[in-house]
Amino acid sequence: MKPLVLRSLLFLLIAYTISVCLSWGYTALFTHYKSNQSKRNWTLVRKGDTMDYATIGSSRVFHMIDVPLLNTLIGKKGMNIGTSGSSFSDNYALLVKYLEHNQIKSLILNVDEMGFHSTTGYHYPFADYEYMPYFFEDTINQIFKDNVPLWKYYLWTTVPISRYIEFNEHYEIGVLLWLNTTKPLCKLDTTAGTELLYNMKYKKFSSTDTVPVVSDTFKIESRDEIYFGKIVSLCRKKNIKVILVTTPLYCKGIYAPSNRLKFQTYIEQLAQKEKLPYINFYEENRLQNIRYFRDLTHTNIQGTRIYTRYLASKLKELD
Amino acid sequence: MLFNSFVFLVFFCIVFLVYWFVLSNRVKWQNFFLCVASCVFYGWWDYRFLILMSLSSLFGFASGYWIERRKEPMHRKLLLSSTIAANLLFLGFFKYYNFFASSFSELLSTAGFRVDDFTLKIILPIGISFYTFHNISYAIDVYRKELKPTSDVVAYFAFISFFPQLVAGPIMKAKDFLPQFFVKRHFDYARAVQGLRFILWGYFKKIVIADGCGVLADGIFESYKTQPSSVLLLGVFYFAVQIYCDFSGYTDIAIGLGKLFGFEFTLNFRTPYFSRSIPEFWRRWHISLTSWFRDYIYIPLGGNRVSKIKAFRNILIVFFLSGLWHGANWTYVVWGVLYAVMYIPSIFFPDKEKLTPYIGYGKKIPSVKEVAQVTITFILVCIAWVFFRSVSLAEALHYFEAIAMHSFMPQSYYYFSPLHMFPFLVLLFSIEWINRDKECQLDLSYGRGIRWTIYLILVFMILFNINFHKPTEFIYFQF
Repeated sequence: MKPLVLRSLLFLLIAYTISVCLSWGYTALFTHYKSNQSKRNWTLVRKGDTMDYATIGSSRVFHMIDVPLLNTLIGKKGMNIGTSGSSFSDNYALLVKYLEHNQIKSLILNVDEMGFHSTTGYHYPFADYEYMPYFFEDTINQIFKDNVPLWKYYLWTTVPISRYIEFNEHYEIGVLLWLNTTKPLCKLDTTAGTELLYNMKYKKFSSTDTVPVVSDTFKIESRDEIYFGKIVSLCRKKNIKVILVTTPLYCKGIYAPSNRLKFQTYIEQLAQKEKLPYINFYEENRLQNIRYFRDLTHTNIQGTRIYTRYLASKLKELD
Repeated sequence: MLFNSFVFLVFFCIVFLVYWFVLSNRVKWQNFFLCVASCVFYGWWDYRFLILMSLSSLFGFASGYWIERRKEPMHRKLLLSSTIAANLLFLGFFKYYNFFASSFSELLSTAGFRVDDFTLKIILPIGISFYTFHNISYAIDVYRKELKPTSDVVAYFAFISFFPQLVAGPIMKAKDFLPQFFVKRHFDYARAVQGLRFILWGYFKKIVIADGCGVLADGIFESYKTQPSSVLLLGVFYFAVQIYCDFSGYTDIAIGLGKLFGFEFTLNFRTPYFSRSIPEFWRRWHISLTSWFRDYIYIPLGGNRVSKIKAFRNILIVFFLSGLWHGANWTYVVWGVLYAVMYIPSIFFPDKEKLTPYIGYGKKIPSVKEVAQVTITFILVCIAWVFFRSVSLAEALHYFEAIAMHSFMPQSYYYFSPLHMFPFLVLLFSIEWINRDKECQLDLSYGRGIRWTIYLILVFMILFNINFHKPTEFIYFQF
């Protein structure tokens, strides 16, 4: 048994050394070359944008704010950097990376119940797999530490290649080479980062679906609060004006009215405390019609366009 | 629990350490511990199946005892027949009831009778075909007096449920495998290293090759109606590679694990795609099943020491059963019967020239004749695979029709070229070619530096292809 153990240890040591070198290689490669086919990566590869504003949040920003239309309506240049299923931690990571190479004057930040209760609000609140090349950067590293199980965090720290191995389907060199050779067009380039939901048919949630709802208990998660604060601080540091917006929901659906009220009070108090303007479309009456919604939490293209117009007029009022 | 999952890695490490460090030199305790570990391994899918397996094992154990107690040949034969029948009924109910019920009702409907649907909602317990065959093998070996029945129920249960080979073989004959549970096991360095080589090669075949080819083959088979014939041919090729690497990968891992626990399994594959004829292919493909059928069905029927017509009948019976064993679908039956038909030339016009043990025997490169033989055999095998892969006979025939009728060249390739697996396939078949005479393809006769470099390359290839979040199942689990 002893020789087997010793030789296995030697083999593992060599494999570990190689893995560390490979991890450096992967980090270097995937920091500079990315597939632009996912929204986060599309945002991460952007360089040299000088925008009047950017919108950030979850899919309720990505699909629900029609930025090209908003640009026309308010006469400004903006960018939609909202990503599906993202919590404030994820938004913060993306914003930090986006602001490294781009400039914005104001940030439209979506605030809603799911965002402040991200563990139940989203299936995968922090898309760790998208940020692996930046794992050892201080700010991003702290986000990882706060958002992934500690055993995983330490495994990725001590065996750096393990983070690329776990998510190897996102880090395929073959696919990267193919994408960089063929450079396929990305639709997001033509829509300033917005993806509209063209399917008009309302999709009812079934009882087995995980519905982003905080049913009886009203709870704000401290981690979400902290990362909301971090986004605001970052913007203050960079002289970026923050506007809080709550995008509409189809309220007749599932949300407990008492919780909605509590949440809105909470957000209003938060906005007052941080001295931030707040535009609330949560229960916007003009949009409470099923034909404007794709599902309970997302407007369809028709609803998005109407909502964007309302948002434009509110933004003009703020100016 | 799947071999290619993270949870199995943790499970294996715990079992290995306890087995060798805590229970070393205590055979009975080791057997008991293997039983417990196997139950955890098997129960991970569905603990209810454990009851079925335990009942089946208890029946197998008791049947050996009953057969041994009887001295009169007639009684022994009767007991053996009842044991086999009971085992087959048990297997038949779970695996074939719905198949025969729906086929029968379809037949009656075709004849003009109105029949109600009398299929049942039955879940097929994983590995049932394998452990039932182990039980039958035990009863036959005891009947033939090739094996003394055991009085140690724990050892017997460990033999049936031993986790490396429980769900997809190799199918071990009781006379070869059961006695190993009574021998004191010592940790053997050379055997353990060989085991690790088997495991590494098995994982490479499963994770890098089979899963990679599987994605392409599935995509092509699912969209065969719109694919050009060149892509359809590639689809068959990829499926041929997928099923080989998936199944042989599993058994290589099983053999390797067995070695790490001090057991020896029958080799299940010997580079089958380098076969020069269909009979040779079946001597190299799923060897444990082939030899099971040969010893327990083909030879008792008279084997090839009968007239040529009877020899063909025997082959036909064996392949019909082999097809049916694989699954309750007519596609498998046709697949089996097709091989019986392919056997005809070797029965009626046997080659007078004796085949060398393997292709390119004593040479570095094969002769032109051998290359032609291997190519023809591979094409025949691929034709049969179309039936095996298709959901129904009609779909298989449509697939052939599409190969014949569609244009050869594709208009354009979608997203990713279907040729991207080729470098991996070159690596696979190169290593197989170099070591085609060896039991383990990774048994490389180079210096340690080169060997370890190859091992490291394989390890990283596996790691960069494994799917930890959703490990892919092995194809043979469904059989």
